This record gives sequence, structure tokens and C-alpha cells, in this order.
Amino acid sequence: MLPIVPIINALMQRKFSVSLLILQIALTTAIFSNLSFVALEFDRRYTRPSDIKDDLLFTVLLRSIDSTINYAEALRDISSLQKIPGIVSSSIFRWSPFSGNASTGALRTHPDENAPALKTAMIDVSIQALTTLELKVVAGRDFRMEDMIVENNTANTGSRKIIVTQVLAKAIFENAQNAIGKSVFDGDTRFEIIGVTCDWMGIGIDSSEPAEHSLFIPHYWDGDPEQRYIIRVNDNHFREAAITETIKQLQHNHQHKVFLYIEKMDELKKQTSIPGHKFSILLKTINVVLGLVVAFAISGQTLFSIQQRTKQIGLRRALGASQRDIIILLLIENTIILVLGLIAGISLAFYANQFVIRMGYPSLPPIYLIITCLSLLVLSLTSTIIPAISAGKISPGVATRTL
Amino acid sequence: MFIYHWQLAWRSLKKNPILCGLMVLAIACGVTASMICYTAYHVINTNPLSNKDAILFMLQTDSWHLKEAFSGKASNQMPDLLSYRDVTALMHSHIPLRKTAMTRWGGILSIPNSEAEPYFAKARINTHDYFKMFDVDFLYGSPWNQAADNEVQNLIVLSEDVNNHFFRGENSIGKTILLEGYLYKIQGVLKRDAQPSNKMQNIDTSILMPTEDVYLPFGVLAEREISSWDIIQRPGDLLEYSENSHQNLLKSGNLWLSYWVEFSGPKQKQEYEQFISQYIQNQKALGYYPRSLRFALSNATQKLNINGYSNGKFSMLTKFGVGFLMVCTVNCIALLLAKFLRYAPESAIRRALGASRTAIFVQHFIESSIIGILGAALGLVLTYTGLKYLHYEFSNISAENNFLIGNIADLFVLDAHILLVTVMASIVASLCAGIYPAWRICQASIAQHLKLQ
Repeated sequence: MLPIVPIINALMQRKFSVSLLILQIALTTAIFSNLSFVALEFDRRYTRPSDIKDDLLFTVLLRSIDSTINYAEALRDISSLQKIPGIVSSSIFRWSPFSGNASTGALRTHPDENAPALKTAMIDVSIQALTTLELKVVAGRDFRMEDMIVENNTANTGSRKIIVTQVLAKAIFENAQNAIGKSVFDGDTRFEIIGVTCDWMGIGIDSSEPAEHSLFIPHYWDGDPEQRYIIRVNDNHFREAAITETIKQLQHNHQHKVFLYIEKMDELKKQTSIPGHKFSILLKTINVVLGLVVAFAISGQTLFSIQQRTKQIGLRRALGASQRDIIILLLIENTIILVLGLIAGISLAFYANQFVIRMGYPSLPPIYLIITCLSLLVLSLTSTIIPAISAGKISPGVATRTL
Repeated sequence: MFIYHWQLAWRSLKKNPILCGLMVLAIACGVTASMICYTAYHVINTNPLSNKDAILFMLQTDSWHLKEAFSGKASNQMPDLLSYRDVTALMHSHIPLRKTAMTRWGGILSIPNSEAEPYFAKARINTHDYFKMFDVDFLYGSPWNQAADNEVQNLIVLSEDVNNHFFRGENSIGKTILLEGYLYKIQGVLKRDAQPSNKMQNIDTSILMPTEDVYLPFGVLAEREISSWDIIQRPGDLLEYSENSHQNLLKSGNLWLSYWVEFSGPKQKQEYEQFISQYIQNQKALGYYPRSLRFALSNATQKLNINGYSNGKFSMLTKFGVGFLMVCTVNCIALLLAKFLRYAPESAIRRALGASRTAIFVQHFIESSIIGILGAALGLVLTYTGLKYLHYEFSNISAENNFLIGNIADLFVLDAHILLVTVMASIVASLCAGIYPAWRICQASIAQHLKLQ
């Protein structure tokens, strides 16, 4: 029979110490749940696998020294690169995925500016883009020659065909199949969705929007002195050699009047994901240290309260309580304090969550609170066990020593 | 009497070194965690030019389209960039003491036939006034003349690092260097520490900007094919998303230049405000500036607020760090209470022998402040170590070709301000922790504790 009411009465007599402990647990819950949430969000955004074979890909940045790179030259470049043995596919990309650069747009289903918009990242590509990245089309079709738009000074109106990621299609049209043939608007520009790719990491701009909201536009701007090509090899071991051959070929194509910068896609992805990854490690470290501090706090304060109540515990033992009873008593006390602390902590966590929301993250999912509560439960029980065991060893004779 | 209390306090602490150690550790941990977060927040929000807050201003004009207000990060709902047309017109005004328009660019720096490898450099394009305005010191040479701002002159100013890379640190004035296919004559070399750019964010981006490698006179914009590396803000009626060509940028209403002025005094500022109003009205007569006449002159501190950093990552982190410190402080209260109550009989004897309540309170309060001082010392050591480690960790990641990743390592440096705040935080935390336990002890009834001897 668990004497809950006497335990609670006993706790009420030590209101101050008990409320200190409750406060500590509440603060810890708030901090722990929010920081874990932010840390895991960072992990999700920055260290998730790219879902494309980035160890087979590399990008080439070309900067022409004295002129622009027109479409014909770029096409000639990528077809000459494809003739190199070991290179499977190459295409033109205005920006490279994972580099943190891209165009951004706000997509609406109506041209009306008041309709809700979805922020998305966009890259101008050539029609071989999906082949090079090896992205499967789950609805609609891949790009065709006639989708390509090449522009210089005269602006081209009319709708541009785009291919979006499945996540983006689902976000606007509920499933990938529905998106095919529909139009979306970025300001006054009209896009028609002709294909949906399978899920992958997405272009990955450093923002609070999901990286998976990405789309490709088959478009080439003829006035730039700078372009990028993305090249896929058939085997990772061949990539270094392919890079050397690529440099030779491109210098030859442009009569050595270009500067070339090569980046391997997997290294590029790692580079741009490292700050986020380290930040999340910082947050996790703070959480771990906090956990340790709280563990010490709980065991220290339990030890102290036992010392203060030595006589009472001795009296209980003299009246027939076994060692086990004392331990259970202390564990129950601790659990009651913990539960009160967690209740206060949950409301404090929601209050603290507004700081996180202001940073652009969604609100705290309940799962983090549940995990925090369970971890704190385990933590506090483990911290209490040892002092409880020493309490159980208090001899009944203590009760009779003084009055 | 103070020394006496101090001795008593010290002796009492020594009696229980483990408990004392735990408390010091608790305070130190809390202080370290919150201070590391605060350092990052402090650096990103520090305005190193705050001494110029009365005279150095950024100009914003509401040149946005009529349909809706500008919705970027700027909290006053005006774009913080100007168009090339506006900037060249404004530069004709001789009212401000100094003025500069600026944008960022980049490209490949090289010296033909040299062993030094080509360098992918970040450039800033500005007027010659920029250097004086932002307190940038020269190692060799000096800024270019006014003439280079008005017409194309191929002059360039290098940063000390670039000078080291290509010329091994020697005086390279007068030599030439190739940037993106054009030869520029070196006009000056900047001293490394003086560059404010890594704290002065140019546009409304949410990350630290890396320091520039080279500086070009404003005049090059008229001829060189430069598409700005910064954000281009496009008022609604101009949403041709591929309008990146340089000629278009020079003519259109796209906003891509940041404009700063320095005044000699408040009178000049007023004169300038009238000038700007007049200018906008003239533009309205020509069909530009559809929105109502609005402009703002913000100093650097205000600009940091406009950028909205107070709600950023590090502000959030600092608040949680303070929460951590509160947990540690509360922990200390409990530990101090435990300790004081255990030695209550001693205090009871002192009371019985005539010590006043105040004396007991003071003694115990001093004990908690000693803990605070020890916690401050340990906290400083831990904070310094932590910051050094984080600086090292984040230093290895700046991607060279990607100018968007700023030098995050620069966030984690200790300076006098942080030092002071660390010590203060620790002492204040421990004093707060000590008040209630000391008060409890001095209120304790003498007789009861004497009996328990």
C-alpha cells in the first residue's frame, strides 16, 4: 500500500527545497526539448544524405576572360565532354546544387499577389540535367529539346516548362500526378509543370525553407561570362582522371581563354553542411552538460534531504519499514516532484518555443517533449537510487538516540 | 569586522571542499554555456563604428512598386538598396562631407607569368571616400582620386592577405594585376585589422560577410561587365527574372547599390534631407517613385537593428544559455541551503554569544560571494577554452569559392566586454543564490539549534 498522502504532506513541509527542484526540472525540460528540436532540425536540413550519387559528380565553373559563353559553345562543351571515356553524362547548370547559390522564387497557383506563396529554389539547366543527376521522373516526362529557351537581350514571354521535386508538387497539388500540366506563377512569370522527380535533398539554399522545394528550368542566358557544367562519371575511382581530361578539353575548346574551377559534389555538399552540423553539435553538447548538471543536482539535493530527515527515516525503520520500503518511498517522492516539474516544464517549453519560432522554425512537435520527459524520468530515478540505497541502510537505532 | 567575516567564511568553505567544489563547478558551467552563446550574439550585433553614429548614415528610399510595401528583412519596409540611376544622380550632391555607393563583386585575380596561383577574389566596388568613412587604414599607398569614381580608371586596392599572396608582403604600389581579364594598377594595400567588413553587413543578409580581397573605384561600373554579386531587389513591375545583364542593371530600376553618407554636423544632415526630398519629388514628376515620398537615413547601429539580428539564431541561443545559468543558480541555492543548515549549530552558538543577525547574514553572504568569485575564475578559463575550441572548429570550414559562407569563426573571440560580463554574471548569479540561504540561517531560532548539540 503506497501512502501517497503522507508523502505529499511530508513534501509540503519542505516547500522551499521542493519548489527549487521543481523549478530546476521545469527549466531543464524547456531548454532540453527546444535545443534538441533545433539541433535535430539542423541535422535534418544540413546532414541528410543528398539522395543522388554525389561521389560520381563534379562541377566545373567556367569564367571567360574576355567574352561571354554562348549557348552553342556550351552545348559543344558538354557534348565533347561526353565523348571522354568514363564520363557518362554532362549538362549545363547555372548554379550548382548544394553550393548555397540559386535563384529564389515565390510560387503561387494564381497570378494574384494575395494568394499564398511557396518559397522555392530554382536553377536554370540544360535538358540533360535529370540524366546527369540520375533523378527518376515519377510523373510527367523529362525535358525535351523544344522545352529549352535561350535568351539574350530580348525577353521571352510565354510559359516556361519546369520540372519540380515531388515534395514541392505534393505541397502545392497534393500529389505528383495532379501537378502535371498545371501552371504556377512567380510574380508575373508563368511556369508549366511538365514533370516531377523523385525525392532528393533539393538544391539546398541556406534558409529556413525546406531545401526540397526546388525546381529546374530549361533555360540559358546568353550574356554571361560564367557558366557551370555538372559531369557524372561511371565510377568514383575514375573521377580524378576525368577531371584532368575535362580541364584539358575545355581549355582546348576555348583556346585557353577561360579560368576553370572544379568542385567535387560530395565535398561541396560537405562544405556547405559543416557549419550547420557543428552548430547542432554545439547544441547537443549544451544539452548533455545540462543533463549532467541536473543529475548531480537531483542526487545532491536528495542526499541532503535524507540527511535532514535521518531521524524520521530511522523512526520508520524502527516501526518496521524494510530497506526496500524506504527506497520505494524515496523514489515515489522523487517521482512526484518530477511530475510536478514536468508539468511546469511543458508550459515553460511552449513559452520558450516562441524564441525558436521567431527564427523561422515550426513549433515544437510533442514528440520532443515526450522524449524529454522520459529522459528526465530515467535521469532522476538513476540519480535518486544511490542516495536512496544509503538511506535504506539507516539503522533503526537512530530513532532512539535522542528525543 | 569585514576581514573577520571573510576569514570565517573562508574557513567554513574549506571545511567542505567537495560541496564547495560542486557549487563552483555548477556556477562555472552555467556561466560558460551562457557566455559562449552571448559572445556570438554580441559580436554579430556589435557596431565597431558606434563612435560615428551621429555622422555616418545609410540612405534608403522607398522606390518600390505601388502594389505593396517592400517586404524584405528591413523593418522599416523600405528597400535598403538603390538603383544605379539614383546613385549617379545623388553623387552629384556636394552636401555630404563624404559619400560612397557600394556593391560587391568577385573574380579571378592573377599575375601572368608569376608563381603565385590565381586567386578567386571577393571585390568591393566603392568610391574613394569609403576608406575614410569606415576607418580603413592603409598599409601602403592611399585611396584613389575623385576622378576614378566618375570615369573608368583601372585602379585597385588590395587587402594585406592578397598582397602577401602575390607580392610576399612587399610594397606593390604601381604594379599591375589582372582581374577578370583587365589589368589594374595597384593604388594601395590595406592593413588587415582595419577592415570593418566582417562586422558591417552590407545588405540584409543573415550571415557574416567575409572581408573583401580587393577594392575597385566606382567608375568601373560604367564600362566593366559586372553583374553584382549581391542580392538584386527588383520592384514588381520589373520582374524579368533573367535581367542580369550589366547594361540592364545600369538603366533599369533594379536596386543593387548601397549608399552611405557622412556629414560634418547635424546642419548638413538637415540640408541633405531636404535635398533628398527634392530629388524624390523631381523623380516623381518624371514618372518614377510611385509610392509616397519616404526615405530614411540610418546610422550603423540602426542598420544592425534593421537587419533584424536581435531575433536570430544567436539571440535564441543566448536566451537558452541564460536559462541554463538559471538552472545552475537554482542548484546553487539548494546546495548553499544544505550547507548552511548543516552548520546551523555553529551559527547558533555565535548568536548566543552575542552576534547580531546582520553579522550572521553578512558572513554567509560573503561565503556565497567567494563561491561566485571562484566560479568566475573557473568560468573564465572554461569560456576562453570553449571559445578557442569553437574558433578552431569553425575556422576549418570557410569554403573558398562560396562567398556566402562568412567567417563564422570570427564570432567566437573573447574581448574585454565579454570578460567583464562573464565575471559579473558569475558573481551576480552566486549572490542571488546566496541571499535566501543566508537569510534563512540568520532567522533560525537559537535555542532549537543549541539543543541539537
